[in-house]
Amino acid sequence: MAEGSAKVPQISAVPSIPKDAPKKNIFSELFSGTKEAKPEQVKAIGAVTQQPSVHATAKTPAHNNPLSLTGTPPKKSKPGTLMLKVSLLVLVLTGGFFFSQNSTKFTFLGQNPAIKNQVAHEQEENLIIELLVEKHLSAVMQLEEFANFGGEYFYDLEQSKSSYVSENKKGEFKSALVKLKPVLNQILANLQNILDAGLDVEVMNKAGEKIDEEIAALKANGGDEQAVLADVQDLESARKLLRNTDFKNKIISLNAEAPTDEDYQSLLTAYNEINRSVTALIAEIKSGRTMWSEYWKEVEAVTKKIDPLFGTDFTGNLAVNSLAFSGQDSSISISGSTDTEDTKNFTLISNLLDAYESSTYFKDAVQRSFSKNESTDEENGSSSYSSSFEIKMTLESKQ
Amino acid sequence: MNERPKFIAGLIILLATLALGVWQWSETEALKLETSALNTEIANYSAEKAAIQEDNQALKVALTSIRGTSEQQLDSVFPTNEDITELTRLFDEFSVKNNFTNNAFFISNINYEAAAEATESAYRYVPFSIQLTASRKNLNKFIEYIETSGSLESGVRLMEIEDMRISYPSEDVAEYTAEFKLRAYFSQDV
Repeated sequence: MAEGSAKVPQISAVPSIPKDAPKKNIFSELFSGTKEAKPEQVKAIGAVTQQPSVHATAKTPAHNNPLSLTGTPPKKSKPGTLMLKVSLLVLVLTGGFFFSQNSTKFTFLGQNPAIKNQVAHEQEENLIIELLVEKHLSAVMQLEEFANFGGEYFYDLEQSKSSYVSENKKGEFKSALVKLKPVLNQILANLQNILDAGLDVEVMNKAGEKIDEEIAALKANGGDEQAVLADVQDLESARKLLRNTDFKNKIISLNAEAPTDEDYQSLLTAYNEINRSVTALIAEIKSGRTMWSEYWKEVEAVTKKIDPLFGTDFTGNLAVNSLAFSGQDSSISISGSTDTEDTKNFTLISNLLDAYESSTYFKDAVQRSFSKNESTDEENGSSSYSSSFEIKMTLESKQ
Repeated sequence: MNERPKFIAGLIILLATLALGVWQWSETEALKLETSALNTEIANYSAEKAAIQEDNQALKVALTSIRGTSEQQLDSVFPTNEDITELTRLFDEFSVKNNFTNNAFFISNINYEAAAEATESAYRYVPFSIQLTASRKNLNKFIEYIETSGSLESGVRLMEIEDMRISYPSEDVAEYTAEFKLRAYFSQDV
């Protein structure tokens, strides 16, 4: 043991504090600025913390002693607090970063993926609407083409069947028909490709608004009046077509591979109902006309069934004197006479009435009074019987 | 607070942040993928729209020609006034073309009434009557002429038979006699 070795002080559990000493704690003592160490306290600290060295006496300068009461206490490491701070910081940074990427509300620093996505959705929606408008505009123009070629087709068809057109001309009309049919079929196929009858109301409304914008733009831009008027009319027809699901379904349901003349006619009729152009109006008037010639043919055909000699150069039992066709009450009056040798004039007239009634063209065929005359040929002594008839009936089916 | 709970809390937050990051990263990637797909769709729609617009331009040119021709034809078929004189000339022309010795057609009378307006003022018409004598063939031809009138191709004024009365030939009259009540249509007053 070294000479100067100090005696190891007795370690007591708790250093005793004099009763009269002021109440102070270790921190106030440490940071009080007192340079002079108190021996009792030094001893107490030394007893708890470490073995005091040989030099650890009151004589040792205070600043060399790590345990000096006037120095900065060593910092304790706090890993928990650090971890918490770091994790909170990472959370904030991560949250902030992804907010800047995935939120449409973050509009600084240009377009983030969320905004780009939103813009792309809006662009796609607008394009779909614009495409819909263009398709319906195309359909309107193709329908007008169809109406034009269809009118020509049916005129050529009528002429090719007419009894009053020369055979040469008939041949020309038939050739024209052959050329027109594939044109009509192609237009029909195009229409079926571009039209969609399954649009929902919201889409139709947006397309309608788009059409309104285009019409307003056309009118604002001005230019050639006739051209602008034609474009505006086409757009308005497109708007009508857009909402006319029944008509579109009619087109889509037609057999485009082998459409019949009835298919063409029904499409033309339906088109003329939605198109208010002058040609459509003309077509409407034409389709409302009564074809009296067809009823006349039927009257004669039925009469011929009762009397086969009717309409020939030979005298038969039945003769028609006059016919009156009335459009006002859709009626036909037939006046004529019968001439028999067996007195069965009334039977003949009754048969005629029944025959007209059973025809699909007529109904309510009636005659209320019958009268008969006898005339005798004095030369050969034969008798003949004559009776006149006045039959009135109404049209059953429109021709 | 003790360090250990703080550490655990920090660790949990860090793990949660990792999970959030992974989730949000997948959302970002999904957005980018969807945007890419949308851009492809947009390109397709744009191309389709351009193609339809080009077709529509060609259709417009074709229609302008059709509409121009139609306007001239419309004027004879559906004029803007009653044009009685042109109508009368039409019947005279038909008579001249079809009247032959063994196949007669003769119009003896034409009477025009005052023009009338249809319901909803969509169009107007002039009622008139015609009396004629004709062979059966020419009578049928005349009826067909009226019933097929109004085609732009034929250029014949749009007409309709309202009533007709036909008398068959008899011992006294060799031909058919007929009286027609007709309408000739024209456009509304603009």
